Amino acid sequence: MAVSVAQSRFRYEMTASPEIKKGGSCMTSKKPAYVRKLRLIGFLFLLPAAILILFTTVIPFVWNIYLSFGKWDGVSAWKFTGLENYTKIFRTRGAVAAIKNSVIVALIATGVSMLLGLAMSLMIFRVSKVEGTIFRFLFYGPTMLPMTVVGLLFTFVLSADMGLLNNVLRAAGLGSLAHSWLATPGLVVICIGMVQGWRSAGAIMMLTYTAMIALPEDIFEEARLEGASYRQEVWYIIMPLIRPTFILAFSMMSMWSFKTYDIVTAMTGGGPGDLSMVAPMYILQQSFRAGDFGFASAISIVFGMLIMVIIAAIRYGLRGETYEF
Amino acid sequence: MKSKRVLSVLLTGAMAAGAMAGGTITASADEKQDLVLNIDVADEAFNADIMEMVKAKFGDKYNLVIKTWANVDEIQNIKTASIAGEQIDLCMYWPNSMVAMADGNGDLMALPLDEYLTDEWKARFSEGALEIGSYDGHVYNLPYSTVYPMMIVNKDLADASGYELSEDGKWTWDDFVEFCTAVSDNTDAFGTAIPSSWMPWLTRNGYMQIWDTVEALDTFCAGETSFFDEKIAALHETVKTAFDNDLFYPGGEASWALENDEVYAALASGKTASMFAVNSMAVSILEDTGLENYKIMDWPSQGPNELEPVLGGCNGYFIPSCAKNVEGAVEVLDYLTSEECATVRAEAGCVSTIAIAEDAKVNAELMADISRCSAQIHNEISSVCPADLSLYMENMPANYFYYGEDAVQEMEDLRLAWKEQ
Repeated sequence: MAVSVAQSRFRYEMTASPEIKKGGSCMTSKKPAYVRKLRLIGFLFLLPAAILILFTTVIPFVWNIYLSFGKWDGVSAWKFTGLENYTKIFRTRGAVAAIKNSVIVALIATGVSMLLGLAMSLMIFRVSKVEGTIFRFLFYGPTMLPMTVVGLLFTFVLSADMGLLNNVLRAAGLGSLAHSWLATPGLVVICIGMVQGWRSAGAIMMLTYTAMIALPEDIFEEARLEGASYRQEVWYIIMPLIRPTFILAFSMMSMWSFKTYDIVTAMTGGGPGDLSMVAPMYILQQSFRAGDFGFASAISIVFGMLIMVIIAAIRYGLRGETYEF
Repeated sequence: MKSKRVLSVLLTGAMAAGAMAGGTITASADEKQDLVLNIDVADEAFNADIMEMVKAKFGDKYNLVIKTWANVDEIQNIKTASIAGEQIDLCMYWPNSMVAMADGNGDLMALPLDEYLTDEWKARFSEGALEIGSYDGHVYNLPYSTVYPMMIVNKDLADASGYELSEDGKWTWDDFVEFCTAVSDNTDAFGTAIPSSWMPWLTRNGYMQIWDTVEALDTFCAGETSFFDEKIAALHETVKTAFDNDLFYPGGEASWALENDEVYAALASGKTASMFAVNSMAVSILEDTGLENYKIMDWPSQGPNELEPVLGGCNGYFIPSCAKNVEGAVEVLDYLTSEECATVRAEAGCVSTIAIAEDAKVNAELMADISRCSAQIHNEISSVCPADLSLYMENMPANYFYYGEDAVQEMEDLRLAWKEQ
């Protein structure tokens, strides 16, 4: 329950020591006892989470950096090799291709999911409550499906000979558009990105829709009185006001997309050959199958930094005014 | 204020107790010993039956923890378990590839089984089978089945094409190309099809068969021959040409990305006249596709080697050195290599290395067809080379098709790195 500023001040005056009430020195040189206690309690409450993060994130991250400067197969002693693993990345076509594929998948998946998710939420926002509930469930359905199920489903949709897509194209007299979707260089990665984007669009829809229903109704009523169309409402009211949520969803989706792994495993296994290999898959292969943990760690560091730079650049590009209502 | 403190202490105590309960709840009062078995091989047709039999026989005696077998990643599982002191008591792995289970000192991370193997137990195995899993005079891995690649041909389509298949099921790569061409020319079907996961066999088999002499084969398997050798270059080009000429269903690049089910469907619907397969799955593939007029053909010979070496090996079980319930593991191992289990496997189409019951319901003719190359199985370079090179070979011949000589150069770099070690 929220406590007003006035209430807080009242409590403060009732409990503060006479020295504090006199003002000045105590506030600058020494914190009141209850403030120190509150901080201590706060610290104690944060401690379990901090320990958890330390062991699950900070230590593995530092360990990863350490591993990246040496050779280690998981059994033998670690051997320092300097920057060898980092230079090896740029000499290895497979590693560079895997990182490049991950970036392409992430960009396509993020673009598709943001556009599709936003479009779906705008449609649902327009319809009645009952219809909205039904459509929300339908549109959110793919997000609830396990990635492997989605992957296998689309393997058969995109199959060159027996797949649904090519057969629909042939039935519609567009046989020339039929392709080997999962075996053509370039196209296979685009297909994976689109499937990943389609699957994640439901989550974006929910996030943006939640932001839309929090907007005050009177803004829309006023706009309608002024004769605004729904398109104008979207462009001049909804989009500017849900901007923070949109950017948040964008950042989250970008991070999810860069980590794409399971759908690739289910759809192509990284193949044919290593044509659709993505960075997370390559890192796992190099560490647990090839036993080269140092090289795998170096790739993960480089890939992680690349993700941070790309997301920071995108967020910088999307920056702008935030409206309060 | 005091009551709040008491409340906070009580809440903290409750949280701590809850956290501790999480750690102690696993300590069951049950006195049965744990027995961890990494033997659940999902794609084996008989797997579900064998797992149920193991649970029924040992479930009352041990706390059975049956884990899904992780294929080649099982090496890392065993290494990780050994370092972390985790328990794995019995594991499925290929007896002929146990060298991959060596630790940093070159010692196998497995227990020798000699002291447990009684004469009766040894007598269950076919001649020479125990030698496959033996190293330095000790038996480490007990094989239960022989696995190698072969082909299933739709005889109706073969007849329609006018191509006459050899009686003994043997053919060369040129014969195979002639057959595929005849099928393409005279029927609506493609000559053959192969699932993408089995695609690497096209080159891995060839890498063994192309050598004129046994010595040349051994030299290659030891990593002493360049991947730019003219015989290897010719092999890569031969395989690529077969794809370029659309001998493989459904033609073009799509031939490189087929799931097993797509290939089965193509065989069942007459879109392909043959398919590459593995002998242990032949029975289930024939059942799934409903193909009745078929012919089992050997892998098309890709070279003149006198040994007629075939890629493949055995499936078997070993007890890892990190086992904590060795007694239980030996008991289960004894059962898994018994006539009872072997019969169940054989009835599902497995080529058993263990004697089966006389009244087993097996198709003797089919079993003979899918086991006739067992003696030709030969260790390949992948069994001895470092994991990164072995891993790269799994991307061939697709990488050669897409990247050409660059792919060969990458493989050659890995070979040179291996030899420099």
